[in-house]
Amino acid sequence: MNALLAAVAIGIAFGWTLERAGLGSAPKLAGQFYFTDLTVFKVMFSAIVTAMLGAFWLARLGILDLSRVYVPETYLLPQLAGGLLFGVGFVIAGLCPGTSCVAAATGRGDGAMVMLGMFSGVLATGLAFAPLRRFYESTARGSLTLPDLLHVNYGVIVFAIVAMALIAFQFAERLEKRA
Amino acid sequence: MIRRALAIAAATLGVLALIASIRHPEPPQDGEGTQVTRSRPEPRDVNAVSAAAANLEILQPRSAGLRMTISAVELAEWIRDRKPNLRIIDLRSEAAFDEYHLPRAERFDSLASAQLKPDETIVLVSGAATNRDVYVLRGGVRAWIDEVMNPTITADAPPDARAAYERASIVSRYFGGVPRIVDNLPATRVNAAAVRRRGC
Repeated sequence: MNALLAAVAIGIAFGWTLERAGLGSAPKLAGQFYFTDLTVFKVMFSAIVTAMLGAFWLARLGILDLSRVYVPETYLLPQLAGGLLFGVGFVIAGLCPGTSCVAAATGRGDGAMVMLGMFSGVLATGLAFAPLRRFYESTARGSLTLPDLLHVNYGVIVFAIVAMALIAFQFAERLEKRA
Repeated sequence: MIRRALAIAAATLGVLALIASIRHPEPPQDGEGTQVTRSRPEPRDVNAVSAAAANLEILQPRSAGLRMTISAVELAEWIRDRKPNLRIIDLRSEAAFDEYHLPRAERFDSLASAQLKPDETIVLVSGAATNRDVYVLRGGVRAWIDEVMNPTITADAPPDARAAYERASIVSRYFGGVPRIVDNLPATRVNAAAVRRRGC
């Protein structure tokens, strides 16, 4: 029950933050793909860096047990195909699953339509799952993490990603100024 | 200004992370260099359930209608198929129940407080038995987590193991589990927190 309440609270905070970041607007999101507005990139990369630094330091201080954090399994080909399909849908709709809910909640019609499409897609996939299943389970690689894969410390990866983010933010701002 | 401060904070924490892990590397894993160990500790309460079920096997004398056992996959099929008058009674602590419980499970402090009716099929997830038709879930919640939520099989498994895996996979997906075909069966088992449903 507590977990459900926490989920509701986190969900509302997430939606509110997305909306405040301006990610409820399809034109803003689509700007990402034309390199005119890199808000999505900046918001998402900031979130990654924040979560990563938080997880690393909380684990380091003994507050968070990283072994209890779920690491999703990798299925190379199905995830590649899913990612491509997701990307195409994102460009066409101008919204992704989370932002479509935010857009719909603020009364935007396109958000509601994207949500409808999303749930239709979920239903269609569920109904067509039997023939898809072989592909769905192919090229399984288990839970992968960068430190495992590259045989380096977590700290090195954390540092590298923070450095990458800061450089990328600089670059993104320059691109936006030019646009 | 705020953005600059945030960037400096992130950079500082990132550099400190680098220094921290070079000066105090995490313990190496099976001699594979300096990796963080990713062993998943087994939750104590889940083991306690298995132990309780095992004790029940040993302590209770065999008598008619008592202590039939049911496998986790069979029980999963019962729940999915909405077997009439099925009741799943969980006698573990409230904390253990809150952390993880089977779908449709009801928690009671004792079997007496569950107010069972004669025509009901009872599956005990742990605890004591009575002198009536009661199934005990073989392996307790641990078995549910391993066999229903996380069925695994190696690619070169024999046909009968494959058939069992296929059967388990069907119910596994129904309950939001993740059946996996792996190169090597995992040495450490997944814990309760990891089987919660997840999404993005």
